[in-house]
Amino acid sequence: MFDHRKRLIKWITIIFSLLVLLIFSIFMSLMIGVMGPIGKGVPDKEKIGMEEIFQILIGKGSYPSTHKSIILDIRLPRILLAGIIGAALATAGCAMQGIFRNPMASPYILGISSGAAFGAALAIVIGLNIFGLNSVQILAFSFALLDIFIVYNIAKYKGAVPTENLLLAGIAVGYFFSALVSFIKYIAGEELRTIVFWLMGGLWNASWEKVYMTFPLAVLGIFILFLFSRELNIMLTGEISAMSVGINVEQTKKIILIFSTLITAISVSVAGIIGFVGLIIPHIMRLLVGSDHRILIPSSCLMGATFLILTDALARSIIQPSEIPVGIITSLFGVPFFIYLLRRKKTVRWW
Amino acid sequence: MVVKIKVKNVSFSYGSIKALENVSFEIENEFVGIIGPNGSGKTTLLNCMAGFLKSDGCILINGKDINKLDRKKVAREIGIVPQIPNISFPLTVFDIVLMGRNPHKKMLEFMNEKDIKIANDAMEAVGIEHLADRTITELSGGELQKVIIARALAQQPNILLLDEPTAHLDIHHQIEILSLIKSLIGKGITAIAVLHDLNLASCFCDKIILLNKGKIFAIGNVKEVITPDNIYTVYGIRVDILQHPKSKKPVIIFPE
Amino acid sequence: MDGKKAVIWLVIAVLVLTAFGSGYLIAYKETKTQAEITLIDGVGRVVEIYETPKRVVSMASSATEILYAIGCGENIVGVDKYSDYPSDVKNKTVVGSSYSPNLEAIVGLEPDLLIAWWYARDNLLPIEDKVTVMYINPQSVEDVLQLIRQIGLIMNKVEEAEELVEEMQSRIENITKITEDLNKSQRPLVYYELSKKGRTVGQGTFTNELIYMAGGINIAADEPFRYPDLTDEYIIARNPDVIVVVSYGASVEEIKSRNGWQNINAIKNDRVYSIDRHLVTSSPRLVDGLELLAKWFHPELFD
Repeated sequence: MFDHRKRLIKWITIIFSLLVLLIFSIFMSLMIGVMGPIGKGVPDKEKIGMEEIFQILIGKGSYPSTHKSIILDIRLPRILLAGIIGAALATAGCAMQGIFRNPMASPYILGISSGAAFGAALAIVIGLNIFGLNSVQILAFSFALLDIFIVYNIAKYKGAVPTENLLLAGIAVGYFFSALVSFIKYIAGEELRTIVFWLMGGLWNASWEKVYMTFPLAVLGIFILFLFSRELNIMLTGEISAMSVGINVEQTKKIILIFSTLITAISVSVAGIIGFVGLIIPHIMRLLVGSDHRILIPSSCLMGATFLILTDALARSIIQPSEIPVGIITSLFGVPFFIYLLRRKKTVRWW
Repeated sequence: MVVKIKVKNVSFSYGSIKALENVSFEIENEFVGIIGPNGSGKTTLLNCMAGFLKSDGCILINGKDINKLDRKKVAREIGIVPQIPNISFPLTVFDIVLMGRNPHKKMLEFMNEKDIKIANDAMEAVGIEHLADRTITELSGGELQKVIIARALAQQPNILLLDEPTAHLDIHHQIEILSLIKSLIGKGITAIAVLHDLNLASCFCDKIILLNKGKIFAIGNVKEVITPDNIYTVYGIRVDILQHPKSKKPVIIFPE
Repeated sequence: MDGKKAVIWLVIAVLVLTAFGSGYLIAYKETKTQAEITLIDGVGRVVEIYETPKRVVSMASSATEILYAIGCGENIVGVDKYSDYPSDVKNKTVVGSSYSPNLEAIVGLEPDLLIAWWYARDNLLPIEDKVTVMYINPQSVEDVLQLIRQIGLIMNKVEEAEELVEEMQSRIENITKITEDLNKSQRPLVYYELSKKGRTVGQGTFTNELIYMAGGINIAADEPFRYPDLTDEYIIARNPDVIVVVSYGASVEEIKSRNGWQNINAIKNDRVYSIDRHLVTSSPRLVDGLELLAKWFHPELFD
């Protein structure tokens, strides 16, 4: 007899610990920054103390309005945005690895990043604002979706979309967009550095607007992918096997693809291409909690959020007051940890 | 419950290559073996019956055309045991068997106590209850095959379709698996299996379908189908056929 | 399937809500009382100044130099990491770069005014409502003079600014009154190299204008891109009389030893020069750059 109650308790414990870790990392991160208790500070101005941060958060006590601005309008949205994006990328990575049954799959595997990069680069060279909205985000998002639309239709064959076709079409279309990005970089002048920085990915221009823009779609997407975790589990056993137990494989693939794409596209459009999170966090969580998507998806989601919040805190505190693009930090600190987990596991099969 | 399967004028082609041509037969509550040389259309026929491939003609299960049913409804009628899938994810045996309950669940509906009981019963029926919390990656080929059969049983189907259920297994496990399938016939299940080993087919099946180049070459009971002439025409080898001393079933021996 | 339809509607609802939400946020802006100075900045925004700024963060090296030149050096409380002139700048707090500004440090400095390059806008959007931001985008010598006047006006240093502008104008005129009469054959062909071999300035750039004012002709003046990459063949065929390389690019020796370049006039006649990058941008020191270029192009006329 299989004791599923024992397992449920184990899973709840895992989720609860990850939640505690996430909340802890948000508070840690709120303390970190140039003006924070352990920051470098700026001349003539007082740093923001730890107590003050709590006062600002609960809205009691007296503090300079600048300090309130820094905590509530600069640091908090940035932390939340990091959390949302980390969660979205990790979840999308999980789902992509699941439907492709491929350890190399990441949210960017179908060329979303190249599509978004082209949109962003285009917006950067033709000017920043159209219709008063940020055209970099809008074009990045639109071209990410366009990329998937093209990939999907190339891969489609007699109403089915074999994953091998998707992968190859994704690589082809991705390279095509990469070439276009290179071309834009080539003809760009002063904008070149802006493009390069965008491509590295970062959260330095986080704002509440971006949080509001990202949050609903990301939460919806993550939730729907979680609801499909049983289907994802069954898909792991192969497409024929999934059909045998009544899964409409093509429709399931399509839904999972659509929502992974949406949450990846919205993340990329506000924060540029942040690598590593979507590829490695699902692997790390697979090593820690197992392959069952019912636990893998929520735990990857929480871990992704925690991870990006902490790495972003590092990114803005290592060489104060300058910043390192967070994509560099995610890889520099994440890869050794990942290799350590792989080695510790001591199994032949890593996947 | 008596299950009637009617296959009428089924044809299927991969592009311009005809894999099945006008295949028709009827079966009910028996163990049917599909045999034939490589490329004769055995697996294609099984996939058409499973509804994986949309064929011309019709396949009726108790009068319902499976090409017109959605996958969940098909999966409630037919349990499929595909060739052992290469599962490299450490899911537990219990979870794999529980997947068999999927066709009885609405989208997003959770598994309940009843499903868990059915999954446990299915594991018991194939004798793998002791493996429940092992991960699928640790199992041997024979154990894995039983897990997949248990999953198909958890679907509570009327029909089992098995694609070479004895491939890659040693003789002990081959006999064990086929006896298991045969024992299910008594419980009202109709089983159709693609088999390679003609002696095993002869030993266990009630009815044999011999396919050749996408057409039914012979259909009937074991003695009618497994004859030296049929084997020679279809497989191109000369064999001698003896009779099993107890069961009186044909046994093929190969010439020197 | 009903579930599927519901999901589609949910997605549409979320997208619409998102669009409305962001639209509302953009539309919502406070209105304030009458400003003392109102101007249009380099990205077309209206900037309102209520009183003379006492604390300024400059995230554009040109603005930093202008502020120092009109005597507002002590008002600067923060600079970007590319501001490095005059040397007093190194005592100022660095707030990152236009590409990755540290918003927290900027707001923490409590500046009355933030001056930044136009391309920093995307990164500074989140603090536009907390700090008075002025973006600059000077594209010609005339724009730089205008910018100096504008900053002078904002900083209540109109006279100092006017003085600086006049001095610059007279030095520029000293050169242009000689060079403007030169015909095409009297102007040397100039190849101006940026960060790497072949990369140069095309039409519509500041440097292109300076080269012409100094009495030369940029060999890439007709190229459609602002920063084109020229091939060896192109450069050798155009046979420039003078080669100028910017200080962060190749060394003079390296250029002289390049394969196949030996027969270029500039190299045969030893007219390869290196110029400080700050002398050819939109700062007050552009006059120094212009004088240097004129001297290199026409040693017989200026000395």
